[in-house]
Amino acid sequence: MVPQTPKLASSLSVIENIVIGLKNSGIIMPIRKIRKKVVEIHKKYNIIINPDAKIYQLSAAEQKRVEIIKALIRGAKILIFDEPTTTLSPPEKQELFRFMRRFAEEGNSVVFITHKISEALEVSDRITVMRKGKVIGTVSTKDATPSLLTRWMFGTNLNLEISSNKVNSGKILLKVVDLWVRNDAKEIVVKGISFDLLSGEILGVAGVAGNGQKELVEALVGLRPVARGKIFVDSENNLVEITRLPPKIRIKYGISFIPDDRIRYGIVPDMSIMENLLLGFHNKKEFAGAFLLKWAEIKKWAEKLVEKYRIVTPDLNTPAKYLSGGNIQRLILAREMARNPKIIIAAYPTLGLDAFSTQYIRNALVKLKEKGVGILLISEDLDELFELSDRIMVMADGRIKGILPKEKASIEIVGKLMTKGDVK
Amino acid sequence: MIRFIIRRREHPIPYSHASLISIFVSILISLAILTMFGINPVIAVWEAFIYPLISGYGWSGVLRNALPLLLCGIGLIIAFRAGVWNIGAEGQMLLGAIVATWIALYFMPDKPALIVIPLMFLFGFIAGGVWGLIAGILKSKWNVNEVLTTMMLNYVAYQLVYYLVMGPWQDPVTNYPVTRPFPPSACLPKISRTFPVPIPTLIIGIFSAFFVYILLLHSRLGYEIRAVGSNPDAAKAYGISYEKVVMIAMFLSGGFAGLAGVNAVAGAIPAQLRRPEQVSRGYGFIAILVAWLAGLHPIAAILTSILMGIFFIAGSSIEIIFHTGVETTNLFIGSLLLVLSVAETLRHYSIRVKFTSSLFKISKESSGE
Repeated sequence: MVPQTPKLASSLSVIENIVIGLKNSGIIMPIRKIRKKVVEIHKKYNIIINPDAKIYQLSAAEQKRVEIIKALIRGAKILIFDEPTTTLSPPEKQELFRFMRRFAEEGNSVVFITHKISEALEVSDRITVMRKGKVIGTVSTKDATPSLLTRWMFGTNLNLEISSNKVNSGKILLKVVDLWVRNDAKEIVVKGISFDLLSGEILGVAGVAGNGQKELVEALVGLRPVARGKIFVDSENNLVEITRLPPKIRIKYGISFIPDDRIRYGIVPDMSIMENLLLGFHNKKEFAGAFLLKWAEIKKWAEKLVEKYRIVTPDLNTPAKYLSGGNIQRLILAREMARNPKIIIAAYPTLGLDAFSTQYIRNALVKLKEKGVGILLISEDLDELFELSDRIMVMADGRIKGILPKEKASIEIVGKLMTKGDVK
Repeated sequence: MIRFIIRRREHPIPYSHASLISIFVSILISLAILTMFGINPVIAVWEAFIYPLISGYGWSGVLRNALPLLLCGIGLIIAFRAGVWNIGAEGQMLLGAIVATWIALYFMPDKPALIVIPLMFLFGFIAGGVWGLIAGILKSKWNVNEVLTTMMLNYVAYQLVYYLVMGPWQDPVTNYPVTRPFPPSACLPKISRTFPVPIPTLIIGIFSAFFVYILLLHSRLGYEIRAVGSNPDAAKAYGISYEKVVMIAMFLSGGFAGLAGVNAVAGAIPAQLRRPEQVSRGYGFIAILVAWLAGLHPIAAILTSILMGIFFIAGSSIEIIFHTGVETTNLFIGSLLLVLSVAETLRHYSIRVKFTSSLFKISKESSGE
């Protein structure tokens, strides 16, 4: 098994990490013997590594090599790679693929888990597609085509359980002009995006995760600085620039945020449900005087929200971390709806939720849209996007590959746009 | 063979229980160590814990130690609740002491007590606060680790006091490394000659504990402090300014330590600035224990600071009666620190010990990946 993120002790050397947990190694670590084996592997597969380097000195690709050597020294015949290419550059990826082929040619097996269609087509012999915990189908690579795989991956059976009426006043609520954003590694990952979000519409953002969506969302809500470009928001029929304003002011302009990482960005896990509902409201006159918070008013208001959004909890003082995922999402939804937002940035709002909560959240979003709220819905689930969106914007490699009205969009077209540049 | 089964508790044991058990266990450990040095534990308990506490003078000693611990402790509670690890209460205390000395001896040596004493506390608070704010600004603007900066600022403050008491402020009469004694108007009034607890500090201490309680749990600012402390990412996402909260928390935290510093010079007998280790006396560090033992609750800090005060007195009683040396107080406090650290883990994890005869099973498990 080669995990997605390396599981290595970062202050130890490569060789020590390889020895850790080795069976029958006795009391003294068999460093010398292992070193010989590492050299053998190096010669055989051309995996270059300095056995005495400390793990923290190594790049992501090199750490991956250590994981591979670890598996090989233990005599692995089957290697499982869990999304190994996410942290690799293209040449490193090619090196990894060469190794996989070589290893497989010796009569061993490789299981390669990926969400990039082009990679699967490039290196594999057979491809199995899984969706929502089920195997959809297996096909020999020479018979596979990108469109077949896309259809398998995202499904074609759209069940339109939600009736969504088109209400389009055409007023621009959010305007993004030539936006460039860097990720944590300081690489540009949003590359010149421009779009308008209108009132009364759900603008779906389709794309494989990791193509700049996360950074786009963070830039829109004010958690990540913008490298270039501008963001405008509607304020009493005038567009106001908010590119450099902090989240506090953006909330005042009516931007609500339903974050993808709901434990990290959505709630304060140690605080009570009541206190979590108060997040962002604690400066409102109804709930706070000059210095003190008005707990009695807050409690009444929180009780109403808990009932209206059917948050299942023993009481208001329960720490939010004890709620289930669905209830945490409802808590976030309740709080964000209570702001009477004009714009909602919803990032993967139904990710990991049970069917019931998913349906609840989707219905709520549609109802808000019908009231004239503009919603930017980021999702990997094409079913969801087609079900809810009025327009679908496809992102790949930090760029917009197309903005399609729902009537003109099909899974095939969107799928192709999503993987364009991936498929050679 | 013995097997240990470690499991995470679904609901951690509350602080209060863990703290009480820790105190009890640490006293037992300390007594066991004293017994090994040939001290009768029954007499030790009597001399250390019972006799001082049935005498009035003993209690005044407890309170004289508890007050600076309380002030530093509630300051630290503010910082810790904001998720800022202020280790610099010692230095912040010393800054308060320096400013109080300056006011008492140089700025207004001839003004009445009603003006001098409030001003000493006010400026002591500001001075300690600014000392804390330095680390707060470094942390919020450039993400400099506050543990390092507050610790380093301690040494700066130590040297500053050394410089003053051996240089420009040194008492020209005695030539000891101390300043001149404060004028009577700058000495804190005590409850009585036999119960020499400084009245202003007592009032400020108790008032501050209740004030910080309201601040943290019932005010807007306290809400922001707690939100930032327990999840800065979510706090930022919903409009709480992380930078602002960290700076305010560090200012308040240092400010309360500064109050303790004012008390350490103006409440001392005689009132004067001395060598730094005689002023801060490690209160700034032990206050970390006070805050922690109180589960970061300011009202509980009143109790825990008194408890630590008792440990101080118990330690010095045993030192005097059994001639054990000055380390006895440290023995009590050190064993409490150790037990508390263990308790913090045991609050979250349960350990079951299982005795098995099967060697095979263990080797299989320990060698597997």
